[in-house]
Amino acid sequence: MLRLIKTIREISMPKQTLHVSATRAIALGMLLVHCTSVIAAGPDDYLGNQGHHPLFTGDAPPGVLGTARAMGRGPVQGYFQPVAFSGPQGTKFALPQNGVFAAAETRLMSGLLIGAVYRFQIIGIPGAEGAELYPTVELLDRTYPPAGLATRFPIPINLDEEDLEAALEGQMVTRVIYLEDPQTALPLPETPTTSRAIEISQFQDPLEVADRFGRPVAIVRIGSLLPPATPELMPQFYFGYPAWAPIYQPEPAYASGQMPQP
Amino acid sequence: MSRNAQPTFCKPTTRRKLATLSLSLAAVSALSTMTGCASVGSPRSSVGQSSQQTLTQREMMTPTPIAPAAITPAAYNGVAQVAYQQDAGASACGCSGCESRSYQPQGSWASPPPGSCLSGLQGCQVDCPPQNPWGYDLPPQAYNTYGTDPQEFLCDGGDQAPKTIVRRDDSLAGLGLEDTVVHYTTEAGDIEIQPSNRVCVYAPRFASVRKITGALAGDRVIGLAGIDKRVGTVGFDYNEPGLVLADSRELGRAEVSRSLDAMRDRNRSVPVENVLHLQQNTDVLAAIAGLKIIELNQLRDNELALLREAALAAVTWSLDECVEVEIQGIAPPTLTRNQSVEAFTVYDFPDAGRLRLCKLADRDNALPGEIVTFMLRVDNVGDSPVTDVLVTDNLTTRLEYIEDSQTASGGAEFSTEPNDGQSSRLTWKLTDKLRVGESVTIRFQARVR
Repeated sequence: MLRLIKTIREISMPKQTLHVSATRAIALGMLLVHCTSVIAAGPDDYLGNQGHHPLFTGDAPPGVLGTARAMGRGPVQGYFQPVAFSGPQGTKFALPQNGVFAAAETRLMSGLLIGAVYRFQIIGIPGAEGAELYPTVELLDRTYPPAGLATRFPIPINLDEEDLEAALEGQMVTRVIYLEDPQTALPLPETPTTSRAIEISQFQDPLEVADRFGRPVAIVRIGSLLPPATPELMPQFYFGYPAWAPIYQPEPAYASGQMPQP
Repeated sequence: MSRNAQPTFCKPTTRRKLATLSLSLAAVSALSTMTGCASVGSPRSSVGQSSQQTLTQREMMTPTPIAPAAITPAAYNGVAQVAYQQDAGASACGCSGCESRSYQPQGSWASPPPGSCLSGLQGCQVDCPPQNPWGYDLPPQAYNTYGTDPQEFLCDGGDQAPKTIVRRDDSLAGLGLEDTVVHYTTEAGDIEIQPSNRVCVYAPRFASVRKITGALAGDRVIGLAGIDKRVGTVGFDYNEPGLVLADSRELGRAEVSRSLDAMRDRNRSVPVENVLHLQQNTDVLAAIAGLKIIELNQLRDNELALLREAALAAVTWSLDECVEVEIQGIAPPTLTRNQSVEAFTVYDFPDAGRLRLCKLADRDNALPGEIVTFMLRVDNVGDSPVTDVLVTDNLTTRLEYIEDSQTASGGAEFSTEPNDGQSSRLTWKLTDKLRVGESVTIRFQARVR
């Protein structure tokens, strides 16, 4: 009987050894998995802040960013976001309609759709008489003003002489306009036509920088000097002539006080 | 009404919170609707139509109403509204319909009704019925989930975290930007701190990031090249139209115009005049000063709308800032008069000496460069006089105090010092004891940066 038990024990020994080795293998495997998971790249390695926007880039072709936003959440589709253009003294702006520019205004205001790309005209540039510029503006987002204040607080597209000179010299100027966070706002006095800009190098992404300081709402690209002469290229040049809504300035009678303001 | 009556647009005292009442903006939104919006059917609010002739914009636009003509045209509207529609009978979300908590006699709060805003984040909440945010013409299915963007507002007042405390040397700690508090000493020797309500002004400010690149190819800008794009452009649809067009025609006029370098240099010194034209100086505080709540500390029904407008959005932008009524002491409050259905409820309860600090602004929106007049009113609504009253207003970065613009109705030592936000910390130390029922009104002006 004792011998039988010993035999059974001898027989069962390899099983115990096998069991222990299996346990060790599982533990080793778990350790390897753990180490592998530590070493494995996470999403941050691909989408981290490497000087670029995590999802988009400001160098994207016109229309990409705005279209992506227009397909996102929120009441952005079909909303005409008021936009106000301003520039150095004498500069005038105009928006096209089927290739024909309306009368240029020094303080042009209009309602633009989010996602569409609008090419507008700049004339009367100081120091470059006769020259014209055809920048594009693309709205990325809208504002949510209280009722009745939409046109009082438009998104300002304030260009300065440096923008225009650089574009006339053949360079490309990209301006990403953003809604400034009041918590991180710079303590600088401003007016509605202040064209303060954060200058970045060509190796940085303006969209990422703007997203860091606030909420990007528009991209202005200045570089085109004149429209193509071929009529077939006009729709492409004007991005399909998207619809826009005119916004009129107060009449001179209101401004002079002859008629009561509303 | 007792002298302890608490209008709900202010945020009185410490310790036990028994009531939380909110101020409706329905009157404010209604007033804004009447004054700031143009007719939908007017020629000013039309989508641009095409024209083959070179005409002015006004002549080229054919009126195309975006929304049904349901709004009464505002006379002499200076700026045309792009598209506007106000739902009749429906106030802006976050107003009366979303804040109707009512106090039950049994001492418990009634649950907010379905569709209210109390479970969400900011003014307009996810539970609100779908409606156009701020009255804009939008497809009914595309209402704004968030209602508004608080980053577009400039707020001042209240006591944000960390909570303000008084040190042994009578200095304040934890006084962050935007905070406005008053601390005082009661007869019992206790030092109490009372924050004001929060005043928000719609004042979005925009800035821009500029990148100038010099990539050139045959006198044509082709965009960027040679930038390491690790992630990003892989998934872009490059069928989108680009900036570069393949036009075979050579440049003509533009080449000639670009050769005028000498003229460009000569005119380079032309100054840019960014002159701010002030539109109108409104001093609504003069009207506020005539209110009975300011003069006699009495609440009149016919002044409720003005008070709601003056108190601005102080109670709607965030739930944390809801105007509250708090009392000290053990005795339960006694409802003495219910001024209106939802907004104003006045309680009477016994208490020791305590202060109420109200903060009002004369406008609810401001462009950069405009001036906002603030008013601080300190009331002793307790049962005993208080001493060593110190009102402190820590202005936020985008508010710049205008020198010598402050006035105080009582004796006060005013001082200002720079704060962390490169703005000013304003301090008024009342020289006299503030007796029961007495009040001091402080006014000052700040420029929006």
